[in-house]
Amino acid sequence: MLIVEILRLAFSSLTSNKLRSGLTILGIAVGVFSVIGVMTLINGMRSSIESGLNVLGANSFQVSKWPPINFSDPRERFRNRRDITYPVASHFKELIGDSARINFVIGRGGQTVIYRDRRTNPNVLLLGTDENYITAFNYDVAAGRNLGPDDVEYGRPVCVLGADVVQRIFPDEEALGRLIRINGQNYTVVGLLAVKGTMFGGSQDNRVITPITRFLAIYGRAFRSISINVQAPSQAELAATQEKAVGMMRLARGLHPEDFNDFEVFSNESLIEAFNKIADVVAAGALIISAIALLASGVGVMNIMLVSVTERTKEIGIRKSIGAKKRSILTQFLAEAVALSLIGGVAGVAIGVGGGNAVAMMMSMTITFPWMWAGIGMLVCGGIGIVFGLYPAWKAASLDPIEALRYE
Amino acid sequence: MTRTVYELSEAIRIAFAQIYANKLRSALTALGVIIGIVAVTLMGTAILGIDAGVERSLAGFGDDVLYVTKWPWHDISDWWNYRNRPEISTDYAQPVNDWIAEHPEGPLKLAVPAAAWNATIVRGEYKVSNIFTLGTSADLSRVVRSDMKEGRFFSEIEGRSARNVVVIGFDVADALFPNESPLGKMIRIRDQQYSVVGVAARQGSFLGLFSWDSMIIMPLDAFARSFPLRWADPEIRVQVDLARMDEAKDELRGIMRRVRKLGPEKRDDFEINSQQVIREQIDPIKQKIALAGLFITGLALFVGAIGIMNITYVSVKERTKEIGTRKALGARRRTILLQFLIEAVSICVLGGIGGLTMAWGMASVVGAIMPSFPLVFSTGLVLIGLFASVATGVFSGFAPAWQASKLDPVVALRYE
Repeated sequence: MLIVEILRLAFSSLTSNKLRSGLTILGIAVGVFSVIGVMTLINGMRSSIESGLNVLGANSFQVSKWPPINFSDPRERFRNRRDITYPVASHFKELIGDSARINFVIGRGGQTVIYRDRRTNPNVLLLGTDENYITAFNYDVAAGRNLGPDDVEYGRPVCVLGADVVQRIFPDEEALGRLIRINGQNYTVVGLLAVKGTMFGGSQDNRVITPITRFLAIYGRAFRSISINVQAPSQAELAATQEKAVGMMRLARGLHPEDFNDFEVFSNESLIEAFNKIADVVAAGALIISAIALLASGVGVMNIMLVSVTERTKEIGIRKSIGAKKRSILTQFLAEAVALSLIGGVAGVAIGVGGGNAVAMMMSMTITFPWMWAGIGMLVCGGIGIVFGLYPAWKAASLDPIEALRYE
Repeated sequence: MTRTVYELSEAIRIAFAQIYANKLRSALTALGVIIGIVAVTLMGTAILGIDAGVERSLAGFGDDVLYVTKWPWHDISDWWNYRNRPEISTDYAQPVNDWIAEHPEGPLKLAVPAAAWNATIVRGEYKVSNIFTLGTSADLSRVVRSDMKEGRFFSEIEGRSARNVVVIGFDVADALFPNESPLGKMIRIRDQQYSVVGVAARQGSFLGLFSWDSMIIMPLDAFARSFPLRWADPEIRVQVDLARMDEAKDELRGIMRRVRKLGPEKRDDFEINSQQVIREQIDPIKQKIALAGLFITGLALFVGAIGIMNITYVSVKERTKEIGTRKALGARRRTILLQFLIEAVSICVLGGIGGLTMAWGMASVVGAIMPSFPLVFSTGLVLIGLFASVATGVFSGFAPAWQASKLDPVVALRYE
């Protein structure tokens, strides 16, 4: 009953001074817009980068000599590590046994694929790998078949082409069964990969995969290190598999108990985590800068509430003299301030989400609705109403009724 | 004329009397402006600072130097078209210098060969790695605008006779020779000993951009003894007449085509770069940061302006009777308008001065804590800040002042 009365009073005084309330709400709305807009934009950037980082297949992680993202450590720290060779990798595969699916990858960039008089630019990635490559890196076979275990076992000269390569040298022609040439070696095309798309502007379809045994037979190891992808049977067993893989890798590498791991283990999650460390700092900086406007609008609320208290001194005096308690005057003015801020908050969230997404769309990034920031925005608005409304409300509540009645 | 002056001084007097009478309200209004001005000014210092840092780094390249290289400095997607270009030979400096000797009035001034490698430098138990090591001729000291902290650049004779002498950057000197002068001391790179003849003056680094501080320079032939010249990105640096940049580029291109013996139908198999190329890549990023930063902080100032407008409306409403009285006594519309406008503007200017002072204080504190971040607090910025606060006052005070000036004295006097 009392609450309803307080709210009614608050809204009636807000509507009686439409211009004044409108300007104050506008101030809050601009402040919230600044925070929400910036945060929406940053969220959009984050989610588009995160989806780009989803290179690996489900429940899988990668063991390799080099770290995937490295901002701080010098190259020297990793350069002197031993390469992961085929015998070491095979030993590792034996040790893991049936508990996880293992995939080896070794590659050479800058290759030209030739078919009759057609040739690609010398920028195709040739990968030596096995039948599990497709599941390990989230590819699909569009036509033909995947590499098979027997292709790997016998080192057959066969290959599966990425979508970009197919488009380039078999634009309107059946590719399956044709003989292509890379670096003077012939390969029979047995399958085609479906389009995967780009990551950070680089195509992931400009590649050719062939059995790793064939690759090693042609090029040798040539100072290259094999990357091993391990796919756990399920999400639940991922952690256990990862632990086991680290132990088996140490065994395969012949490390002593006191040695550090001389290889990197990473998954999609750890990639995203590494990226998020940087994104968090950026987001915090942006939050502080964009919250300045919100602070300024809080000061505006306080000012207007003080004016409102001064103007209604007589009203307060009358209410007090006929028995209104200090607390009810305080709540009345606080409710008014909070109502002002919340209305501004709703408007600000709406404009901010719209504006942030508009910019994100212009930069062709994922559109998101930052539920968390919208919620926080509303909470903060309520907080601003309380913090900046408290002093004026307290001032009103502690007016002496006799003085207040006499006020002119 | 005298009347205008009188009106103006009267308006200012009333404005300050009003501000004084409503101390808390004026202070809070000014606080809104202060927050806005502090935000905008600090963002301005940061942007100017980034500018200064980039400039400082680019100064190392010299704005009057053209670089003849195999690879262009800008991003290319068709790199395989460049891959098979022949390497630039350091001998090409000679024909360019010959041309310069024949054409003393030409746009080119001096050609210097250079090659670079990242090396590890050892001195006793001290060791620094990944140091940009430049092999060049003694003429480089005439091309770059860098002072020596102590010692000298290596001489023509030392350059020609491939003596093992080096000039080291400030940070390298600091790391290898703490608390002593490096002059005359020996350092080791790979299997060669070099004696230090000079230390370059400190340039300062910014965001990991290129800086002279972490590099060393030695004669080209001494460099070739330790490092494979062919793989060391050999290049020719040509100092040109800054006013005749385009002419210089054409002339240099002609010389290089003659040196390479390219037929008229052949494309260039070398690239002529200038600092401009780097600038073109950095500028759009810089502008985007500046735009976004100023927009977001500008919002804070906008909120402050809304606060002023609001309070001026309140002020007009409270003093309706006073306005009525003044109008009845013959005050003109302009006088009333001016009075309220000046009130709004003075609060803004007071806030602006307060904000600039605070921003200056904060910038000094940040500068003291993080000397590597070059905050620049310029007079231009102060002027812009003051101008912004006056503009804010006019922008936000005009609508309420206009309303006040339009009041009908009869209605206003009756207002309760």
